[in-house]
This record gives sequence, C-alpha cells and structure tokens, in this order.
Amino acid sequence: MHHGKYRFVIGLLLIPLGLYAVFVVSPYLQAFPIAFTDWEGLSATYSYIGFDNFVRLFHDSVFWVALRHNLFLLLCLPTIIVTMSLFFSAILNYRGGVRGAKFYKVVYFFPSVLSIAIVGVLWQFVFEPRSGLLNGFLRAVGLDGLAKLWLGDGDTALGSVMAVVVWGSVGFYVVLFTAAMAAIPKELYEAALLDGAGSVQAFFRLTLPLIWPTVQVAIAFLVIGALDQFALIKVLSIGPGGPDDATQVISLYMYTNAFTYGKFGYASAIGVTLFALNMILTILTFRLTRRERVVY
Amino acid sequence: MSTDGKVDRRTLLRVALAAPAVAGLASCAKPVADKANPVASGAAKLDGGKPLEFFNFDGGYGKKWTELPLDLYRKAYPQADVKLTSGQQLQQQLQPRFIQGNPPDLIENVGLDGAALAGKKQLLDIGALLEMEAFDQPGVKVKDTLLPGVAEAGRYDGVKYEMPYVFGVGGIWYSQALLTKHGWEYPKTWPEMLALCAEIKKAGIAPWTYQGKFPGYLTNPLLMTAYKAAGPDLKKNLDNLQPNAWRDPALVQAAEGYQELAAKGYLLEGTQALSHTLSQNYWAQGKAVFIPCGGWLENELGDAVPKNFEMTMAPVPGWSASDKAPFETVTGGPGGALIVPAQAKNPQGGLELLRIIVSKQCMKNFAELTNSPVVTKGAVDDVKLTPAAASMQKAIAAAGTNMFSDFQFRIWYKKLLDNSDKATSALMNRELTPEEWSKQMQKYADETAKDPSIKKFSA
Repeated sequence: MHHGKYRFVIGLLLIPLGLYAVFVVSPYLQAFPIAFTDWEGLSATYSYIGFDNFVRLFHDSVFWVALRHNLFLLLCLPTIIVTMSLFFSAILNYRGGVRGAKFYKVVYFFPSVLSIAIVGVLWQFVFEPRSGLLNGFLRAVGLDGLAKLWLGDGDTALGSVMAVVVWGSVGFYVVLFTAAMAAIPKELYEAALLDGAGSVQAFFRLTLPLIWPTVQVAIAFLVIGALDQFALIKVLSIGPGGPDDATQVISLYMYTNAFTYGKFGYASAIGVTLFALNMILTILTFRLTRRERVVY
Repeated sequence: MSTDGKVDRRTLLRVALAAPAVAGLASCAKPVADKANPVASGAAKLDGGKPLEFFNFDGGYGKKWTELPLDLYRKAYPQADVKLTSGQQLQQQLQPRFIQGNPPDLIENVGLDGAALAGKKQLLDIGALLEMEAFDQPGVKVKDTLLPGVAEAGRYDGVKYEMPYVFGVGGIWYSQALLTKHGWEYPKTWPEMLALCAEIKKAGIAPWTYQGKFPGYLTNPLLMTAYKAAGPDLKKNLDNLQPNAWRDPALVQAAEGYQELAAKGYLLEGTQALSHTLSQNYWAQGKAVFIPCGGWLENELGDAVPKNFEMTMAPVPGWSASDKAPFETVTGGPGGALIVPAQAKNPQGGLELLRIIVSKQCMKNFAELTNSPVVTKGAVDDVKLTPAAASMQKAIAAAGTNMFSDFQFRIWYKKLLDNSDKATSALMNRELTPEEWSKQMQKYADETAKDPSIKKFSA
C-alpha cells in the first residue's frame, strides 16, 4: 500500500524535477567551469585559463563601479521600501482598519501585476525630459527649476531608477504586512490600551515584534533584489547602464560581457562572483535580523 | 530583451536563495563537442538539390526585398527546399546555432559581431564570388559589376568575409526649406557652425539635437571634424590603437567645439535623454535644425516628415581653412553585411543566393523598395530619387575618393565602441572636460590594446 503511494509521488515529481534539473540546475552548475575558460560564445572551442578571469575582474574599474551601485541599492532599497510599507500598512490597520482600506490595498498592489518590462517602458515616458509627465507636472506647478534630464543625467539617473523600484515594490509589501498585522489578536491591543500605550508605542512594542518574521523575509527578498535589478535597468536606463555607467549594475555588466562583447567566460566569472555575494549577504541578512520568536 | 529579465525575476522568486545572476546564462550552456573548424573554401561544387536557409534581418529594410532573389533561386534550382527565416535579435537567435554547428546558409547580419566571427573562423571566405560570372550579366565577373570599394569592403586580415549590399553615407541632416526661409547657409567649419547656432537660437529654434540615448550618433561627427583638421593619419593612429592617438590636439579641439553645443544651450532641451526615434521626430517637426544620422533616416522617419521639408544631408563641418582633409570627406560607402557561415549545411547554396542578391535586377528591386542606394553599378539609374536620396548621391559624388566606411576601431573593437559612447555622453553632460575626455578615451584604447582576449586588426 505505502509502497504504491511512494511510486505515485515519485512518478508525479519525476518530470518537473527532471525539467528543473535540466533547465535550471545544470546551467547554474555549468557556469562554474565556464568561468575558468576563455569561451567567447560563438564557437565550440575554448580553453581553460585558470583564475585569469577573476584576476581581470578584480582590476576592472567598471565592475567596481557596478558593485558600488549594487551596494548603494542594497542599503537604500530595503530601508526605504520596508519603512514605507510598514508605515502604509500601519495606517491601513489603524484601529482595526480605516475606511476604504481594502480599496487602498488594491491600488497599492497595482504596480505588482505589471510586467517589469512594461513598468520600464511606462516610466520612460514619465521621465522623458521634453513632454514627459514628471517635467510637465513640475512646469505646470511653476517649479521649472526642478525639471531635469532625469535618466539622462549622471547625478539623477540611479535615483530615478530607484524611485521606480520603490514605486513598484511598496504595494506588494503593504499587502504582505497588512495580512501579517491582521493576524495579531485584538485582545493584545486592548490590553496595551488599558496599560496606557499610545498608537506609536503599540506599533513599536507590539505590532513590529509580532510581524518580525514577515519583515525578515521581506528584507531578505529585497537584499537579493537589490543585487539584481537587471531587467528594469536594461529597459529603462540610457546605454543601458548609462549615462557613462551611472546606472551600471553587476548583472547588467555580466549580460553586456556575454552578449555584446562575446566574453562568456568572463561573464560567467562575474556570475559566479555575484552568486558568492548573494550567498554571503543572504546568510548575513538572516543572522543580523534574527530575534527571539514571539509565540502568541 | 525584456523577457530575459522576466525569466530572471521569476527564477529568483522561485529559488529565493539561488543566484539570479547565473540564470542569465541558462540558455547557453557550455558546448560539449569540440569540432574542428571546416576549412573555408569557395571551390566546392554547388548541389542544387540541397535545402537552403536565408536568415533575414527584419529591420530597417524589412523582408519584402528578399522575395525576388529567393524566387529566382527556386526557379534555378526547383528541387531545393528554400526557406526564409526572419528576426531582429540575431545574437539571441543565431548564437546557439553557431555553437551547435547548424547556422543558416546565408545571413543578413545586423547584431552579430562580424569581427569575432571572422576571428574564430566561423565564416566562409567568399572571395570566390567576386570572380564568378554575374547572375544577369553573362560574361561579366561579379567584381566588375560592383561600385568602387565594394569588393574591398568586409575584409578581415585581407580575407573577404562580408558582402555589403547598400551604399550608404552619413552626415548632418537639415531641412533645406527651413534654411532657405531664414536665409541661413550650411557652414563648412565648426566655428562657423557655432556662429550660425547663435543666430538660430535667437530665432527661437533649437540649433541641434542628437540621439541622446545612443551617443554614438554624435561620436562620428566629432571624430570627422577632428579628422578633417588633422588629416588621415589621425584615423590610422586611432584604428591601430597607437599610444597617445586620442591625445591629438585636433581631437581635444573638436571635443571642445562639440561640448559648446551643450555649454551654450544650443541643444534641444532634453536631448541627452532622448531616444533616437524621439529626437529624430522632434527634428522632423522643426524643433531643431541639425541632427547627425546615417542614410536610413528618411526610411526610419517614414510619414513623420512634413511635405516640402526638402530633407538634405551634408558632410560634417571641418575646423578651418587650413584643414588637412577636404570638407567633402564623408563616412560612407558599402554598408550592410551578408555572411555565409563556415559551418553552414549548404554554404555553396548560400554563396549562390548571394550572387543572385547582388545581381542588377535584384539590387534595383531593393533600391525601389527601400529607397536606399545599392552596391551594384547602374542599379539605381532609372529609380526616381527623393530629395534626401538625391542629396546623398550628391555627397557621394562630391566626395570621390575622400570616403571611408567608418573609423575601423568602431567596427573591430566592440567594447572600445561602447566606451567611446560612454565618454561622449559624459562629454555632452559636461561631466568630463575635453581634456579629460581625451585622456579617458586614451585609457580605454590602451585597455583594448593590452587585452589579450581581444583579437587585433590593423589598418
């Protein structure tokens, strides 16, 4: 009886796991040996060159610029997005939910249902310096001095891209956090109220600790996301990655090396490095955000 | 391109912990077989029964023009199964096929790195085609039916790998009607250009715009102005990655001159962030007077150009009366690249189709459909030209031998080309002074020269 059940389960899993192994796991693994070759991606010939790719990467100024941008995003994105999402969810959940909370949740969630490519194209129009929505709005309200080149200017390009990421992500985390907050029993708040806690105190002493596991997962997601950002920058930025590397990130530089410069070996070395960074940062995130779990 | 990103994101969410980075490479796993490269040779016999595949770049020139040559091939070899495939992302579509060893038999190449393919012996030496009999001119060799420079173009280390099919020319575009209306005259030197810009600005029009998102459009005129001032050695030194080639005073001077466009407010507002379509459309609407572009501008704009616009192309201004190269010098000549992969299943068929494509009747058909000059002699003689095409023909005639296809480093060294774009955008955003720009470019050129993984060519 049991034997048959396992056979059934294995039979069901075989095809998806097989596909996963062939199309996801094996390319991941193959990137490691490729990183040690000089393969240019156009022919079937290549030779192993040891750690040359990694040595060159270490001396590549563009890589360091890209890494700096990724680290900047890594610090800013989780902080801004988690703070804003917590703020919005706290307001939506204020005194058991404000009027129209459901409506706002849906509105906040809108950007998450759009494909990243569409988001990129839409915001291109918003940032367009001559007839774009943003500069048009600034001019309409008399703030002509604030109208800028946005994506075309090295000083504002990365900030502009970041604003789009924040716009696109906050809604998802608002929904995540409000759901977590709704699960907290009402009695706890009543007890806190009787003890004389204000709403700010209740948030920091009660709500935040109780939803901490959710926040922790959110931060981990955002940290990994900050290390990527390939798609949006590829669609949205000038160059892409410009102007003059102002929005260059590691994943985009990897893509450019592989598909534009024909350096698959070097690109794989970048990929392997990024993989290592990702692993370290994810582990760090979980370690640093670890707290005592509250059971209620 | 955008779909790549989407896959990345999904994989990321699903695997959560795994590196999104490596997923980008998922589609191109390492090749297993280490096949010996077939010897490129044009001497083998054509087997008319073999299937044939032509890969067409369905971009600026579309695919309508391919019908005639393919029909002619089918008529000549009725047993052959002739197939047309089309696309715009050649890198993504054809790279895996090159690695697997089954590329198409003839490719209209826009997007694959021709120099790298040639360097890796992935292309057939098509030199034999030049000695064959022309398809519709019995007794005449193909090479004698082509315009000057066509047989020489598309060579790497002296071997003919690429066959051009259009004859293009690039320069500065303007509306002659607009210039006539204001009594302005197209300037021959850059200081005169800046003086005219001041006048145009007073008239309330933006003097210049360019394809800000793709700064390479402006790099070419900048280099041309420097070339005219300094003479042909400048180009030779740049192309051969000579030490301090980019430190030439003529280049710094030209960089200063072009930066003035941004510094003095002569650029259409927002230019640095405009895509090529937007900037070209604003230009066609008369919001800016000058724009740099290649010969495809008229085709690309289509109906966006108003009637009686008198679209005109002129050579890039030089620097002064004591210039070492004439004002008429233009970048241009044979353009486009038809290639036969060395590993193709039917390379002789590909070569035969190529012979048909460059025949007079097919090239005439191409010119009529695309409004573009072509490489075969006499093919456009009885095709009626638009003002834009006529101005290009005039520029080609005036240039005579003072014409070259482009600065070769832009074709040979993809990364240096990208870096020159970066530097141009920094120059035009005034993040680099002309002096810093020249130093930065020298640094990029030195990096390329020192990189052993980049195959070097010389001019």
